[in-house]
Amino acid sequence: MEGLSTDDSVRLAQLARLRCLGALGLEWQDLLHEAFIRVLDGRRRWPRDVPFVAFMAQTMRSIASETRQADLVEFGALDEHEAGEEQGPAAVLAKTDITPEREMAGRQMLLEIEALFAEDAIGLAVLEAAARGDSAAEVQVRLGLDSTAYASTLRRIRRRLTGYLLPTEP
Amino acid sequence: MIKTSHPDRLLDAMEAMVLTADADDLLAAPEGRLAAAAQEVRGIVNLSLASRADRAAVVSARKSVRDARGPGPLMDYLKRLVAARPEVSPNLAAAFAAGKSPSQEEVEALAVELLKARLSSSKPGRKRRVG
Repeated sequence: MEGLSTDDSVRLAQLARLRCLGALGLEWQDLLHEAFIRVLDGRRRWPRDVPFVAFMAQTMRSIASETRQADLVEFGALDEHEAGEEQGPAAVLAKTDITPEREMAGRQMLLEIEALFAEDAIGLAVLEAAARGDSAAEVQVRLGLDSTAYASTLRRIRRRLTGYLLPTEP
Repeated sequence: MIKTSHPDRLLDAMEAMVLTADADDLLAAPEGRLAAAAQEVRGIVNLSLASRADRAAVVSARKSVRDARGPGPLMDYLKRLVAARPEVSPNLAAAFAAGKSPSQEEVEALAVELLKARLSSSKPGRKRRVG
């Protein structure tokens, strides 16, 4: 952990910022700190076959999901019993009424992503397709992209996202 | 407007993009911003390590206090009990007699048996006098 490379450190900051998009009152530094703490105290065990940064991404995803559930309980959209159901946070969130606060935060997140891709409609379409779980081949056929154009689009998306998610200097 | 009923999936897709970005993609941003982000993350790592060290110190201090208090009233009672009546728990009696620490399971088992015996011997119908 102490020997994190610059690449890994930057990626962790970006992943933490990503998970805070649309999350109410969650700062990326706090999220990353909590993830490190859970790893250090053994609440989250690092499987050696998973790269550390990917493992930290999973950990932060889980914490952000817990935080959103806690928000829902606080705002009255869920009772504590529902929040603890075994169906998993995603299922609970999907079937739950969205609170105005959460809806506003989610809408803001979508607007920011849309603005980020304002000049790259193809990039946004590829990202949306990835979110739907479409395969690369399906996306290429639907959008009329050959493999080179598709790879180039993915690179544009990555560069746009990594730049956007990089924390601004304090 | 992006049409999705599952913003979380959009986040997952973006996460996959960040995880699969190569160093060129990742480090395409201005050097100053990259250095500042890396430094901030190192600060968070150091803070996390320090928090763990603080917690370890607290746990260690609690353990020292427990150790200084000695065996505690339960262990003391059991020690006197099995010294007087070794047939109650021959294993514990042997361990205490040899000056060894008895197994936690043996201690708990005997304590539970004593409590059960105590509870089953009390008279449920008896009311406590008030006033």
